[in-house]
Amino acid sequence: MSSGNPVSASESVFTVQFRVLHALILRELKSRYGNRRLGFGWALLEPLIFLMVFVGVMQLIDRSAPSGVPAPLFLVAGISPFFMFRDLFSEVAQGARGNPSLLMFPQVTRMDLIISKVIVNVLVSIAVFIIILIGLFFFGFAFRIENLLGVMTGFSLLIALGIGLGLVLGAVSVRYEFIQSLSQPLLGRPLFLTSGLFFTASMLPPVAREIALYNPLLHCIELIRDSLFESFSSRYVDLEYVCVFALILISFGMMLLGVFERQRK
Amino acid sequence: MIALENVTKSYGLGDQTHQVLNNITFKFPYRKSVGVLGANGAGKSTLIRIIGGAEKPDKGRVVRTSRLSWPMGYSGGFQGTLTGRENARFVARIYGASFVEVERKTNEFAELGEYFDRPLSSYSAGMRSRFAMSLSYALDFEYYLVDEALETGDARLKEKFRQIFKQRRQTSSVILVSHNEQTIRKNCDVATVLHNGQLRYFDNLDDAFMLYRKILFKKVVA
Repeated sequence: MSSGNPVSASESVFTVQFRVLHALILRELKSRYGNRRLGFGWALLEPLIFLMVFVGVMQLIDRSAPSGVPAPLFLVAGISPFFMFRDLFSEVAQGARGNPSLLMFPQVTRMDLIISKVIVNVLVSIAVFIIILIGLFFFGFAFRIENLLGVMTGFSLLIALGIGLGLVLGAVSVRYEFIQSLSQPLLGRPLFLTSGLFFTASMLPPVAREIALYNPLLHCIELIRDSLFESFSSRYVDLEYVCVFALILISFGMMLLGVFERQRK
Repeated sequence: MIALENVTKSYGLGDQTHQVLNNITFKFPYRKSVGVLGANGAGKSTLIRIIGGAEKPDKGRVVRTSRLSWPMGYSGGFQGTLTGRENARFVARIYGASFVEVERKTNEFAELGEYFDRPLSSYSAGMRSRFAMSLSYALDFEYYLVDEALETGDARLKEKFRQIFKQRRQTSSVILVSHNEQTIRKNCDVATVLHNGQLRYFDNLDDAFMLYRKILFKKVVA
C-alpha cells in the first residue's frame, strides 16, 4: 500500500508518515479518553463488568474453574485477548471500508488511519489486561507468569488475525455492503462462543474439539493460558496453523482492498 | 509542484460505469491562482478529492511535492469532541508546523476568544467555518486548494479574509474549483474548464468563460 505523501519536496515519506501517525495516535487517545470524567476508566469498564458477571455465574452454578486455575484468572486470560481481537477486527474493518473525512488532509492515507487505530487499540487492550491482572493479584489470586514469550506470541497472533479479518471484511463490504451487518451475528457471536473463553480444548469431547481447533483464536487463547499459568498446559496449540491462517488473511485482505478500491462511493 | 499525470477516474460497474476524469495530464502553475470551472456533475468534487489524496485515481498519479492544503474551510476532518486548540495542534502536527505559531494565528484570524478552548461541537456553524478557514490560513501553504466557498462570517470578517487571501495570492499558488464565473473572476489569474472528463487550460479568463457558457447552454458538446 502507498504510504504518506510528502508535503514538501525536502521531506522524506517516512518523516511525514511518522508525524502523521504520531498526530493520529494522540488525537485518538485524546478524543477517546481526554475529555471525559472517567477518562481511561472507560476502557476498564466493559471487561470488568463482563468479568464480574461471568465469575458470578460460575459461582452460582458452582462450577469451579477448569484445570486448577481460579475462575477470575481463567476468564480474564480468555476475555481480554478476545476483546482485543474483536475491537481490532471491527476498527480495521471500519477503517478499510469507511470514507473518513480525515482523508481530506493530503498527507493522511487510509493505511495511516488503520495503523494508528491498531496501535491505539493494542496499547489500550494490553494496558487493560495488565491492570486487571495486577488487580486480581492484589485480591489474592496469586500467579506467576510462566512464559512471557508465549503470552506475547499469543497476543501477536491475535493482533495479526484481527488485522487480517478486519481487512478482508472491510474490503469486501466496500463492494457488498450487507456483509457488514452480517459480520456480527455470523462471525462475532460464533467466535465469542467457540474461542475458548469459557472452556479449554481438553474439556471438549474429541469430535467437538477437532472442529473447534479449526478456529485459530482457540489456539491463541490456549497458548496464552498455557504461558500464564503453571498449573495449566495445553497439548493442542498449533502455532504453524495460526501463523499461516493469519498470513493468508492479511495478504488476501490487502489484495481485496486493492481490487475494491475502484468501487468506492 | 502539484500535477496530474494521466489521471483517470470512473465510478460504478459494467454498463453503469461513469467516466468522470479521462486521462487528464495537467501541471498546476506555480504562484498563480488557477480557476477550475465546471458545471454541476462535471466532476469538480472528484477532482478536488483526487488532488487532495482523499481518493485514488483508477489510472495515472498525482504528483504532490509542495505543501498542499486540505480543501480550504472544510471542517469535516476535525474532531468535534476536541477543542479548537487541540484540533489546531493536530493539524500543526501533521504538517510539521509550530504549535505556538499556528495557535496564535488561528485565534487571531478567527476571533473565537474563549471558544478556542471549547469543544468544536459547541461551535455554531458560522464559528466552525471561521475556525476552519482561519486554520487553513494559519499554515503557510505553497498550494491552497479551494472548493467553492471562500466567504464566511459577517461583512467585516469577510473583508478580513479577503485581505488575507489577497496576500496569499502573491506568495502562494491557488487551485480554486467553482461553478461560478464571478468567483473565478474575482480570485483567479488563469482558468481551466472541466468538461466531459477533460481539463482545458486558458491563459485568458474570458476565453475560459466563453467555452464554459457554450457548455452550459449546450451549444457545443466539446
